[in-house]
Amino acid sequence: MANKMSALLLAIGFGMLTLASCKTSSPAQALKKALKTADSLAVYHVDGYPTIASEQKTGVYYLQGYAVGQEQTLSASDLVALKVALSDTATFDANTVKSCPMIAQLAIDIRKKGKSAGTLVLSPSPCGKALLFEGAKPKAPAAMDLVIGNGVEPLLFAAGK
Amino acid sequence: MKGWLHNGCLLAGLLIFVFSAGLRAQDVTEIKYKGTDGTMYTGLLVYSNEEDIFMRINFTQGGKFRVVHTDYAAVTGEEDGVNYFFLEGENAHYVTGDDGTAYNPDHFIWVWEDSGQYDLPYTSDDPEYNMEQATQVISYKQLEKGKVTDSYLRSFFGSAEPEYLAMRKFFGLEKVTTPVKPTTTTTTIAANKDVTMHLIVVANTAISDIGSSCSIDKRNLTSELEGISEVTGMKFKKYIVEEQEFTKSKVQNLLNAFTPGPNDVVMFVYRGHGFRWSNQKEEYPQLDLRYSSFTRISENTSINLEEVYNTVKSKGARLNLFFADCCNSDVGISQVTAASFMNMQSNNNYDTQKLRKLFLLSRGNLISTAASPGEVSWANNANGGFYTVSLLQSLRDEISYLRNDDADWNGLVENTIKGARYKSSKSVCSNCTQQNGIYYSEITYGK
Repeated sequence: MANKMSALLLAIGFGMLTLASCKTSSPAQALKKALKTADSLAVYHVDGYPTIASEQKTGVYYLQGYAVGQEQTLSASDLVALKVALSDTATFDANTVKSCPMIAQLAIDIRKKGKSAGTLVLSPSPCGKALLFEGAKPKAPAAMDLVIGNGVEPLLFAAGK
Repeated sequence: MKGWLHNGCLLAGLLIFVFSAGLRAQDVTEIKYKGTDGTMYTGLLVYSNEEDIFMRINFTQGGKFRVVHTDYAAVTGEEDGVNYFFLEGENAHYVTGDDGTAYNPDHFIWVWEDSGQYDLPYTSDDPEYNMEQATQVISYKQLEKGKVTDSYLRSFFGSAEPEYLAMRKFFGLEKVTTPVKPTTTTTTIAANKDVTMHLIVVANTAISDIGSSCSIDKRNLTSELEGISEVTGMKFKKYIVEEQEFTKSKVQNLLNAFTPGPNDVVMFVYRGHGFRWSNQKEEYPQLDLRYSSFTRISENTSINLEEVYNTVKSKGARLNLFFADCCNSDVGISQVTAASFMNMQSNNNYDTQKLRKLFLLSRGNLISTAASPGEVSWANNANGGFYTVSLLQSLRDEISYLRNDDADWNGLVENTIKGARYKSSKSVCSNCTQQNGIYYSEITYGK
């Protein structure tokens, strides 16, 4: 049964490629597009919840409303691996999602020519979720789940990171 | 393969109810399709849930009228922005017209994009799932009560088959001899008109990640319970807490002011985020009553399901039912005491005797939630929460003419948990972890 289903899903997967030209853009694809032209990524520890503009404090840096703490430094190889993992649309699922509350831990500032081209806010498992803010201006984010076993969390949330 | 899937670019309309209803219960549909040899097939698809689907297919071949029975399993998924719904046929066998040849089960597949473009499914009977030769079916339509004749059913079933008798009832061809009416034999149950069904739905329809699935569940729950109330003659009263009213204070105010009668039925359904405090002892989850991500999680923004259960139970209604479709996983925060405490469309094809037992002859309390401590609960933005969808499927199944056994709440909630477990299993949802709901019941039945 398992083999049969694998064969079927393989067949379906093959067919999906033919549909790629006509489907609408998903948040994961928008992220992939933003990463493709990005020249750097900066990872920051952030507060668990965003702060509304009127309550934001001077002297505190906010990314899409999230108060930013320390920058998380990554090695050059980890940054490359992170970009690859984030560009993999299988890392995210915007349709099938967990019914748990997101409490943010990290934000990734996607930078292009010295400006923010987008921000990805992340929470770790067991409630792995992501919010994608396209562009630098505040706007409603697209919500996605981090798929279990994704390649992003080991790079960002592993012990000692 | 390429060709038939590529047609998905051009798709429109008819299938929308199929998949939005694809995870729902008790749909009977007709599929017409043509075989590679030109044979015309007419299938009667009976869908109870993902694990309980069958089709009777009639066709004439070699001048002989034949009927085949095939069981189906449903698989749904999404790949790179394209969704699919696959009905895998198995155990195909002749009911009539068997001439010793094997019948390869027909498989059916629907594909559509996130933008919601649908079309008729494609079918193939290739045992190796080679869909290169798949053809699009000719028609697919839901069969409605009042439009199906006995002779039509007889073209699929023998007159002594239990499925045939159930179908006759389902389509209103069998006179129901014992309609639901005010009972005079049981003193504990008042006349139906004196019974009110209170449906309380607390749904986080405004939150970005699960808001759309919560909206679907709210709509389906309301429609289903309203239909049941109509059939049983109960008055129906709904209380919806959603959008910007989705707060702890609104829920508490509602529950404090809530005064059901002693013969009433109360059904409380929560659809939203759920969690456990890191130091929580209660088995049931905290309901996260925040509609905005700007609000911090605290004791002031959440309430435990058991607290809701105890509050409503103390109001003294005859039957109290509590369902929470939410996660039950550690939020990573310990509880801190706060300084201050502040279109599934109902088709109404119900077996009224079973409805009567569930809603009018029952007394007691039931509490259930979608996931065990430490587990997450899953939702699909196209269909709703796995647990809530399973709850509605199980309810439909429990009160269906197609079920031969007696209806009871324990069986219903066990099937709900089983259904959500199946939907979150790797074979159905590759991105999910399995959720195992829990329940406690103390319901007795009168006569």
